[in-house]
Amino acid sequence: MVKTETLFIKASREEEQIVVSFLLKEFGTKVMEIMNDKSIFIKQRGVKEVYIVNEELKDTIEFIRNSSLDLTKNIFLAGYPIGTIHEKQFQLEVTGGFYFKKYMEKRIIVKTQQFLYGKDIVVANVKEYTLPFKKGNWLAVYGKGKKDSELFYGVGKALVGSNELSSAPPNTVIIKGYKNRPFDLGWYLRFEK
Amino acid sequence: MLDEVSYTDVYDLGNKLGYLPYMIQRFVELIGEKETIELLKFNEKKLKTVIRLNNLKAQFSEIEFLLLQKKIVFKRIREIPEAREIVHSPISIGATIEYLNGYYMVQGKNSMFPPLILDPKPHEIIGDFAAAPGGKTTHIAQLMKNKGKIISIERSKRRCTALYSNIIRMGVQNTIVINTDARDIVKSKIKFDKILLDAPCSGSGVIINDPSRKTSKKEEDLARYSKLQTELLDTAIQTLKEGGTIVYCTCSLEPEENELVIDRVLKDNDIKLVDILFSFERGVTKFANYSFSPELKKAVRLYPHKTNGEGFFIAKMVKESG
Repeated sequence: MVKTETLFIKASREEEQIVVSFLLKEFGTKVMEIMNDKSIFIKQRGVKEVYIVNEELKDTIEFIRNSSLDLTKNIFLAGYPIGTIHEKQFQLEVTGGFYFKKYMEKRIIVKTQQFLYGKDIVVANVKEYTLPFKKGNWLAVYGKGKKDSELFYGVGKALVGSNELSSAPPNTVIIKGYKNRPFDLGWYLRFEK
Repeated sequence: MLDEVSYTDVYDLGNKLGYLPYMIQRFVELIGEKETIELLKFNEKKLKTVIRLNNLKAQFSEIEFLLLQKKIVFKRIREIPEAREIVHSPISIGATIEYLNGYYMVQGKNSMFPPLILDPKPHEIIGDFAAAPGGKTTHIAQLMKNKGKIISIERSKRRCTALYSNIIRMGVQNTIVINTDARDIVKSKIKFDKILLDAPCSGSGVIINDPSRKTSKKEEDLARYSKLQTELLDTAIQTLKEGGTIVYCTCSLEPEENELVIDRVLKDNDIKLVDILFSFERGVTKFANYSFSPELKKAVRLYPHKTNGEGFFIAKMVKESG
């Protein structure tokens, strides 16, 4: 059998609170619609990866844990990953942005695809934004195609507020890009390499 | 160039194209000289790129609209409603924003048949044994409308990474990926409604994608694969509920990895083959010194040169009640 050191367990009450507080603060109470029949699980392998798991999968994970060969140590993925917990803070990732994008009402629409290559979004890249945002807010990043089709690019934390955009120099960074961290969808291609 | 030359001697052609002689001998025994020449010539071509549209993310019409905006020309494939063959694309089809959003999967056309033949339903628990890189797992999830449960098993941790990436990119939420040998799953006591076993194989049906296969496997390797495949299929049958369905497939054309494996498990287990309703060539009942159950005619063989796709063997079985 393949040896791993991974734990895949239901989140503790404290971990649950960290995640739920973040979701309520960033996305509002409506986000609980999607969380009502779900559980939060943690995959621990150095960092704590956070997964949203539905009731059916939760039962199966418990069944596997209680069988004669506990394969829960070998669970690579169950449900959907949304981010990580680090130093008692939840860190949203691109997969979480995808999962909750319906509730991410603060959106920034960009003119270029450079965010998908792990690069920064600067003032000059911004086409528009949907709602005013403050420094520190999480934003969903979208690109606008022809005939107004919108495609999700990723997520990021605003480094400046929307009220500063009109007066800021064009190279002011609004959202920082990360080549090796999963905030933009281009990460899928970089991750596979 | 191959079309311009008339090869009367299939062995001469095989030699010129770099095949080990035993392979040509076996192809001739299986499909005759004329068809072997067609197969060898086909294997020198390049397969058309095919994508599977993912309606877990967007409606087919919306995805088609986005592709057309990018001047990607595609056509439908008759038997597979979700498949589109790419006729022309001015850009790399595997690096578009639509691809990154999981609107489609780049996937071999014939690899879409095993999930369709499995016919998973939204309330079922499905096992996908040897699941990486996830084309079939994500297709099964799509057919289940992201409901029910899929347990995807993959032995290789490295290949689990690709499986993980594809599952989340395609928006699949009903799956548990377990990094273990499928033979361990018996001890977990999980019972499946349906299982897809796309068994590790010698790959003689996908030489068009991997020409190194012309020389990389010796005839003796087939027995090793056959043994592993039989063990995996035996395990899969043990974990299947009574009345449950199992689809066994390989991308090998070798009867030892296909009909022989099924013939063995039919003898040792309470299972029966069921007809596959797609109109492909049927499984063989005789090969070299082997003679297989006539029931093997219910299995299908997808020859590359006849299906314009990857080679596959597919058998569908049902576990009989106590």
